[in-house]
Amino acid sequence: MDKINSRILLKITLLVIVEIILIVSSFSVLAFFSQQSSLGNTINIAGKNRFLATNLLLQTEKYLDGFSSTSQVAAAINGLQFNIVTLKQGGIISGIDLKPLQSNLLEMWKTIYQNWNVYKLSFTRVALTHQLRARLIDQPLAQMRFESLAYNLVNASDRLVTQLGIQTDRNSQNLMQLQILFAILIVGILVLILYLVTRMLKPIFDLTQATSKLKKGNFDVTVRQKGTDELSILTESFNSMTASIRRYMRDQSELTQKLEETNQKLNNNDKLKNDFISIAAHELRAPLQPILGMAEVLRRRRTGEEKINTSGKEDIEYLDIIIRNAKRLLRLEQNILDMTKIESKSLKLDKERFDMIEKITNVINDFSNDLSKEKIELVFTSKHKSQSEPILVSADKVRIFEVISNLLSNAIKFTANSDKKNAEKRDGEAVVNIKDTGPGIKSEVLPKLFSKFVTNSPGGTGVGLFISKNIIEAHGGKIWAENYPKDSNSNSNSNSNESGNEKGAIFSFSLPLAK
Amino acid sequence: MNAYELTRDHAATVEVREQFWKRILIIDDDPDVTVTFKVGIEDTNNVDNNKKKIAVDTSNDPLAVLSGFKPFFYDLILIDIRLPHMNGFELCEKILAVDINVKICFMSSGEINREALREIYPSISLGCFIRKPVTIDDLVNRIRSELD
Repeated sequence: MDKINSRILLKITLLVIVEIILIVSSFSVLAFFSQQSSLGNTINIAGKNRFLATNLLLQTEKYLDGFSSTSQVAAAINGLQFNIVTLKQGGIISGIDLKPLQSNLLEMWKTIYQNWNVYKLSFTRVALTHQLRARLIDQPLAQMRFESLAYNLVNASDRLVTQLGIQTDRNSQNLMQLQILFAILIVGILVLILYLVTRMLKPIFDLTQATSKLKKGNFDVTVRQKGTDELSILTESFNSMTASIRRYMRDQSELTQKLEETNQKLNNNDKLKNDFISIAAHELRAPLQPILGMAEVLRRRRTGEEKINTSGKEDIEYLDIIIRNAKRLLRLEQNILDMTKIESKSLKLDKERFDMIEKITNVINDFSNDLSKEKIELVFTSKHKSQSEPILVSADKVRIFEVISNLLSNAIKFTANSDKKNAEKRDGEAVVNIKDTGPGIKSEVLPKLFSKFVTNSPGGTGVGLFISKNIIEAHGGKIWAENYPKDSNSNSNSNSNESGNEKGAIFSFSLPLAK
Repeated sequence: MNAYELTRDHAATVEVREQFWKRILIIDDDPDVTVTFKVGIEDTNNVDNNKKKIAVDTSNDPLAVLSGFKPFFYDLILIDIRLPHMNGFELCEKILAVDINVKICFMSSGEINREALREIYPSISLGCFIRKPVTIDDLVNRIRSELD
């Protein structure tokens, strides 16, 4: 067991020892005094002298009158003698264990003894005379003499009894005072101990108050500490702990402030960047309007001419090139704008209710015009049960147009000669599949196809699918791609199984239906 | 005297006005855009030849538009959002204060934050919004559907 080295334990032990000593000593003193004050037996025995002396006088007078024998007087003498001696020395008498007489009363006892000796001597002389000279002594005179001696003896005994009574009274008074004194002393010591214990435990109360303040979030607390015992050490530790917490919190708040400032700066920078890109996008788009519009005007005028000559046909082709590239520039610009918004997480949707089938038809019409000269056919089939019933979604029309255009232009890029698209309504969602008859997606590209800058085509930038994915997911939908015929390990999100010998890729996306 | 004032004075005569089905005003700070739209729309008048001809006035300055604006003259006004002196929404409010019945379409090559717009201009409806660049075909289709 470890050596107990506790100052607080030492203090408590000391207090307990002091208390025990006090109680034991007070009880001892009280016991002593109560013993001292028990003089009752002595008073009784001293009092008995009066009776024995009276009895002796009676026997003496009887003897002098000739009614009593010498042996009867001798018995009375012996009884008184024994009583007086035992009164001084102590011993067993009349069935009680008498203590020896106190020294301060010995003088009075000596008076009794002297008187007794005088009486005894006188009687011995009278008795001898009486035996030898047969009642020569004047009887009345002798009686008077013995009465006087007995009176002296009784008187001395009574004085001792009186003195004993006075002393007993004084002792009992002293004992009472002593008891009161000790009671006061014990109460005083108890109060002192209580005070000392309270003082010793004060740090605990202080610490309790301080911790309850801490609990309420007030860390600006310090507990006054003095002394060297465990509670003082605890207080010191507590103070240094709260100081640490305060320091930590101050550091923390400084750090938070710095972070907030940095964050503010970053936000400002971000805003500046977004503002710049927004302005740049606007500025890039603005010149495209006259280019696109005027090219269209010229094309329409050329087309409207009554006789179109060779040079006119060439002009129309050249104008188509301008229009096509202006549109391409527009798409690229739109991609840049979308990328920035996705990166800065500020992509906002301008949702409205519209019919998916109508939207798809619009996109296909748009593309078909451009594809009229190429040998690519766009086929649209709806798996939707009722063709007339619209598939309503609540989405950003412009952005969904962007996604479909994107997927469709990808499909056209890869397709050999045909392209199919279908729309269907599943439980709670609209699903659009775009199917091409191209070479399919390379297996190493497939898992990360929708990541940024990942592309399946040699000339692609790899942002189109990334943007499409973000737009669809912002709508709460899903986008996925797979090859067909299905690989054994591909998932089964597509319902297409009319492929036959064809092969290619299917891009699909789903959108929640409008409520 | 700018193109807007010329055409406006010219068109103010009842005879000229009767030749057209509807009359629209296009306000954009870029003269290249306004002339493209004017020529593009007026060309379709000739091609369609269905007597539903649309007269097109243009202006590049909102202050000039407001200075002589009279009610019941235009059926539709296309307003670009970014304009000098004031933005398209402010101009729209001022025009509607004079002519409550005229239809308004907004145009912009940027994107619109509809929520912010509703907060700042609660009285303005963005029911007709044309994102530039727009093909002449789409523009004419949109304008005709608004006018019908």
